[in-house]
Amino acid sequence: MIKIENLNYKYKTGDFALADINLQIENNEFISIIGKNGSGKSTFSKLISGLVGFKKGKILIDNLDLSDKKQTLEIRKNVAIVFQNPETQIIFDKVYDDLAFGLKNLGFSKSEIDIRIEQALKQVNMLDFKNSYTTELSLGQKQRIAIASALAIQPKVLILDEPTTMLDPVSKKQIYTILKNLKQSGITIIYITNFIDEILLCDRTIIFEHGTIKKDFYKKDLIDNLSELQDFEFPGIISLINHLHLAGININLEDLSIQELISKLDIKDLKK
Amino acid sequence: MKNLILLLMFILYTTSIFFISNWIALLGFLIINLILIIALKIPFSRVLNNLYKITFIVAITFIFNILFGYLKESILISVRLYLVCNITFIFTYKMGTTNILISLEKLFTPLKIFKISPTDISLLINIAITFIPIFLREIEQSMLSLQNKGLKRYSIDNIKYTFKFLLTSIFKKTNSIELTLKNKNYIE
Repeated sequence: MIKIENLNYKYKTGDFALADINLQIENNEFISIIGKNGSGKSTFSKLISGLVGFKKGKILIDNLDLSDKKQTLEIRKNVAIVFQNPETQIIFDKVYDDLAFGLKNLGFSKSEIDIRIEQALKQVNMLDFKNSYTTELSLGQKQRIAIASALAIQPKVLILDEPTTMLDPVSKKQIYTILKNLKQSGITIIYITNFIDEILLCDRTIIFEHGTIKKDFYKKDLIDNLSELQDFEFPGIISLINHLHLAGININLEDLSIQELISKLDIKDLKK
Repeated sequence: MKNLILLLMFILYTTSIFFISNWIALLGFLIINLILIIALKIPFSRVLNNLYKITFIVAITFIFNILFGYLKESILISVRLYLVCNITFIFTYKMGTTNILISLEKLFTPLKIFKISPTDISLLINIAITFIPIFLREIEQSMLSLQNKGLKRYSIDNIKYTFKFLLTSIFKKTNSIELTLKNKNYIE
């Protein structure tokens, strides 16, 4: 479980990035964090991944206290983050070397490193590229390698900070498939996004605004909270759901795709 | 140990290229490079692609020397740069960065006396090797973009604005690389 209490963070200029964040995330939850640029999402992701220190507040991941520097190694073994730009996350020119680097720094043996790399690459469907050059990969493939690098650590918590921003639609879809499969494996996933359609992947959505939590709701309550997301562009399916809701047609949002939505709609509802 | 010996031979080889001005000797180096490429079965297309990518830097060096009136030296330095980059490519292609990293760490171990971390040095070199193709691609894109805005491809203005953009990109990437290294448990 992740417990965040009274988290505050100021930039060096003195401006608040985050103010009084209180949040609890249960194990195996797949939550999305959405908000406009400058709302504090990325700062939040860096704080809960332990990459940036903080002075005010508390972040506990199970029994690990992120403000305790003595627990840094344990934190690194349990929390991994994937950033937006895959090119700055890959620092070796061979896929194997890049995945092995983090594991070596955590003190794993060569045999353990080999096993973990193979497992991680299988999870992202990149096993065939184990001995490839990273410079020859597409952006989508590089992002999958970045995710594999995070998964190789076998973290309890995986944070993804706008991982699909630079990707084409096909690559995005591949990432979504990986994440859906990961959810079954028991990992807690925190997904930061600017896209409304991506929040449909997740069980729960948290809206950030001006460094605070504006709203926190589960997927089943998305329709009732669509008004909170008016600043974002609604993709087709969300627009459709919104209009159906306003027309008095109730939609259950559990695991919804357009095909599923169509199959669940009763023709009588459409005639209303 | 074998990798360390190979690394030392590579350093000796590349250093000697810069001390030799004899054209026949430089031709000898070229022949050695070609023999290595064939013997190690490195695809020629990759070799040529690598040489193409460094042409911009070689061209800058050539022009710079020409401006001071050193024609022979311009040609000499350009040939040397191609030879060195070519052998470096051959070496890294076959050895792999992990082996190079380990060998560099062993080589730099005596620097610990001066409180310099050999691991840091070898990692710096490795990051440079990985990011050079990315920066070269960005340079290409910047120059094309400026060309699209009316500046001739290798004009002074184009190079000036591209250089400015490159510096900004390097600083931005440095921040990101720092976070990545932390994320991979390297810096604390």
